[in-house]
Amino acid sequence: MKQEPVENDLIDAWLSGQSPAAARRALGRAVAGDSQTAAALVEQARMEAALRIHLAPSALAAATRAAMTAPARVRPARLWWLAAAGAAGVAAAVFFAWPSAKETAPPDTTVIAKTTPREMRRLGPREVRSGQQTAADPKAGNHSLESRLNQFWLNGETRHQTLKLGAAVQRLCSSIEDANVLKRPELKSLNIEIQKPEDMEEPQVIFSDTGRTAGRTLRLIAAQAGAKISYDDSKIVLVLRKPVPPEKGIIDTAPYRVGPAFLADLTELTQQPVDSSDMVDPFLSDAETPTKDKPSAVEMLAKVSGLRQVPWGDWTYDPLKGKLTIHAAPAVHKRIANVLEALNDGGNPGQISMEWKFIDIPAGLKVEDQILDNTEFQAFTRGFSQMAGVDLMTMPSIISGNRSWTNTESTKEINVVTENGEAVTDFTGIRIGTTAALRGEVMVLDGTTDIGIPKDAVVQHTMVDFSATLQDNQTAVFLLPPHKPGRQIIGTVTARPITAAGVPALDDPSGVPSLPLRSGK
Amino acid sequence: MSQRTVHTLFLRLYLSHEQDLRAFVTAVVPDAAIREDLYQEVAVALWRSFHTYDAARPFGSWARGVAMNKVRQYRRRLFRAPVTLPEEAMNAVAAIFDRESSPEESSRAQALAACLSELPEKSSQLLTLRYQESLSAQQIAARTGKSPDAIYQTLSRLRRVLELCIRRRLTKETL
Repeated sequence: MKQEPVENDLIDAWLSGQSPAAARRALGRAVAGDSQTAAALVEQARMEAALRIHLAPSALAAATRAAMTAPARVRPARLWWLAAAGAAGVAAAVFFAWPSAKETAPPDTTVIAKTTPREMRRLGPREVRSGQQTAADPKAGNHSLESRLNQFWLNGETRHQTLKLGAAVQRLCSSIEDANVLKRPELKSLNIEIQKPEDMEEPQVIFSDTGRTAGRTLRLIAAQAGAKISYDDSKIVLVLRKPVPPEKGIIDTAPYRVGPAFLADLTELTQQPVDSSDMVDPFLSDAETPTKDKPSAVEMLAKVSGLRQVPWGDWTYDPLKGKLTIHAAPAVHKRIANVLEALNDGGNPGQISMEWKFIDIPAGLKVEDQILDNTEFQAFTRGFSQMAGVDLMTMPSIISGNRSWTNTESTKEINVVTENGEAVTDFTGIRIGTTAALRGEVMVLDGTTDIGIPKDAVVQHTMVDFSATLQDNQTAVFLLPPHKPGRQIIGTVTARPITAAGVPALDDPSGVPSLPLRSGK
Repeated sequence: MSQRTVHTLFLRLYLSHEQDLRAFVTAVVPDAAIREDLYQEVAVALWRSFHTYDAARPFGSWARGVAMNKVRQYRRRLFRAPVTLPEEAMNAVAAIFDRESSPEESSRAQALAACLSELPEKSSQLLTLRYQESLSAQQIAARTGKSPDAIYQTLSRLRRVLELCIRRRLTKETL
C-alpha cells in the first residue's frame, strides 16, 4: 500500500501523540475522506498495538494471557485430588521461597507494598468500589474473574480496587495530595481516602476516581513527588528519580518553621528515633560525613515531599527553634512549603464542596458582584427563573481538597465556522479552574473562568479571574463579560467545608466578616 | 450457562480480539496515556455489558461499538481538548476494521516474535526502551544522544519494517 509521504508523517505524528492541532484536523479529514489513508492508519495502529502487547514488561501478563487462551485440558475426574495436592505443594513452595522485597529490589527503590501469593488470594478485589461509593460489588461471585483480569490488564494496574499499602506510601500520598504540589488538571476528580476498618489492623488507602485506575492514580501522585511507581504481580515499587538540576543563579534561601509534630510525623514514618544527632552538618564533605544508618530529617523531608534530596542546595536546621533553612531552587521551595504546611496541619486539612450555577442572561441586565447567604441566594435564583430570555445552565458540583486545584466544566457540542471558513464540530461552554483553601472558618476561592472555544473559531473566548472569601453556605455571584453578541453569563459558587465524614464542618458559623470580592479582568 | 463458563467464554473472546481492539483505540486516540486509560475503561465496560452480547454477531464489531461509545464519552468529557479522531474519521477507521479482520492472532504474534529476533541490536534496544520500559521519545533521545524527531522517525520505520516482515512470513505460511 503506497501512501503519500505527507500522510505517513501525519499518521506517525498521531501515533506518537506529537501531532499539533492542525495536523490532527488534517489527518481527521484525510481519514474520513480517503479509505487508503484510513487503511494506512489502521495498519500502523495494529503494529503499535502488537508491539505494546508483545513487548509488555510483565512476564506474568504473558503467562496469564497464555494460560487464559490455552484450551482447557481434559483431566480424569478421579485425579482431581492429585492435581489439587500438587497445586497446593507448588503454592507452598512458592510462598516459602518468596524472596523478601529488600532482597529483590534494585538500588534506589523502595518497596511500598508487597503481598505473597497467599495474601493475593486472600485479599483479592473483595471490595470493589465504584466512584465514591463503597457499596458491595453488584456482580457477586465475579471476584475470581475480576482478580484475574486485574492481574492481566496493564501488568497489574487495577480498577476500583482497594490497595493495601504501607504507612510510608499513605503518608506520601496524603502529604502530596494535600500539599497540591503540582496542579495537574488530571487530578480534578481524585479522591484519596484512608480508612481503618475495625476488623483490620492496618489502615487502607482507597483511591476512588471514576475515570482513572488506582494504578494510574498512584502514578500521578508519585509523579508529583518526582517518583515513579512500578508494579508486578506481588508488589508495588516506588522508584525515586534523580532530580533535575536547576538553572544557575536561581537558588533561593528560605526559612521554614517545623514544630515537634513535624519531627514526630517523620519518626512515625520511618519508625526510627529522630533527634538532633541525626542532623548532618551540611558543611561537611561526603568524606567527612559520619556514616549512619538513620536517615536525617532532611532526607526524611525529602522522602515525604517526594524529593530524594534537596538538589544543588544545602540546609541548616536549628532543633531548638524548630527552624529549617533551605537553599534550593524556587520549585523545590514551593514543594517543601506545601508539604510542610500540610504536615503542620496534621496532614488532613479537610475538603470543600463547591456548587456552581451559570445563568445565561441578555446583555445589559445590571448585576453586581456580591456575596449572598442561603436565603438571599434562593431569592436571587428564583427571580431569574421567572424572567423571560434567561437560561439556567447545568449546575456542576465538585468536592475539592484543601488548597487543591479543581477544574469544573459545563459544555455543549456546537457546529462553528472558523475564520478560514471551515465548518468544525467543537464544544462551547465554561471551564472554571479553582483553588479552594480553608482559612480558619472561612474558605478562600481563587480561580479563572474560561468561556468559549478555541481561538481559531469565530465565537469569542474570554478568561476572567475571580477571588472570593466565603463563610459556610455563602454564595459568591459574579458577572462574566459577554461571550457572544447580546448575551452574558452570571456565575455563582456556593461553598461548604466538609469533614472526612461528609458532614459540614461548621454548623453555626461565627460572624467572621466576608472579605470583598474581586472579579473581572 | 454457568458463571464459570461465561468467564471462560468472555476471556476467550476478549483475548482473541485484544490486539484488534487495542489497535482500534490506538488509531483513534493519539495520546498513549489516555489510550491506556480508555482501553481499560473499554475492557471493564465489555465485561460489565457482556450479558447483552448476542453470540450470533461478531464479537469484534460489538466490542468496537462499545469502544466507540467510550471514545465519544471521553470526547464529550474533555471538551476543547482534541484528543480523538473526529466522528466521521472514527467511523471510517471502524469500517476498515470491520472489513479487514486481523489474521489469526497467534500466528501473527509468532511472526512478530520471529521478525523481532531478526532485528539488529540497536533497533531491538530502541523497541525495548519504547515498549518495555515505556520511555517517551524525549527520554530515549536523552539516553541515546539523538533528537526526539530522529527517534520518532526510526520507530516509525521500524513499525513499517516489522509489518512487511510479518506479512512476508504469513504469506509464506499460507503458501
